[in-house]
Amino acid sequence: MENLKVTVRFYASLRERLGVKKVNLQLEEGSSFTSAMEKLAETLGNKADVIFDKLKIKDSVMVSVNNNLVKPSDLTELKLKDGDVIDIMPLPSGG
Amino acid sequence: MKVKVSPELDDLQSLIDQLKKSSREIGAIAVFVGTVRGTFRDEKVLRLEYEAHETLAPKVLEEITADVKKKYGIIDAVAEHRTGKVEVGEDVMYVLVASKHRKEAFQALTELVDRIKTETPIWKKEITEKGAHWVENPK
Repeated sequence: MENLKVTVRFYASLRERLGVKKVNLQLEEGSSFTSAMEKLAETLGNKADVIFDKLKIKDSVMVSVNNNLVKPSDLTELKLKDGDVIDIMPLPSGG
Repeated sequence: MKVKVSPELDDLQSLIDQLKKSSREIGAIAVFVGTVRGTFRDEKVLRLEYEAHETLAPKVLEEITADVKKKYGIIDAVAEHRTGKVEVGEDVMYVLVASKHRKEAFQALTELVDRIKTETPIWKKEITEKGAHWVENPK
């Protein structure tokens, strides 16, 4: 049963390349970040390669969950909760 | 310590004056001013456009500044970065470091500027006479 809703938001070049600001995902309760990304890749279809390289998030992308940056090594086992907001961003290029 | 991510920077001289007033121990204030360059390779740059993560950018900026302040034992620091459209020649970033002596001020300033550019979720789009492109961080 899909009763966990998460929002995925995109920033800067990623948003422009994908052509969307955000995507809402419906997941099963207890879903992990990895399963959310599988669903995201499916939703994005042929644009998934903007973010993924063979279903793995590219090194050139950084991720935050509920406004907390998460290291790539900590993402795999991360369990999501209803209402979580995942931000997918390019690496910084300010200054 | 003060950080700011906003369409406008504070007045630089006022920031220096505020730092001077923060402690009688200050003997050096190192200042970095980032400005918009008018060329990109052979192209004429018309302007830059900055986008920041509204919540994360100030949060990360504060964490980095606190970290560098602690690491080098400096007295105080300020870091400000603009968002939105910035024209050629305009200032885009102020970083100030106040310390007892110049050596740690220079070291802290260098690290702080480097880390702001590579860790703070702010992104730069370059608008040149040939078109627009996002500047990629070469990781």
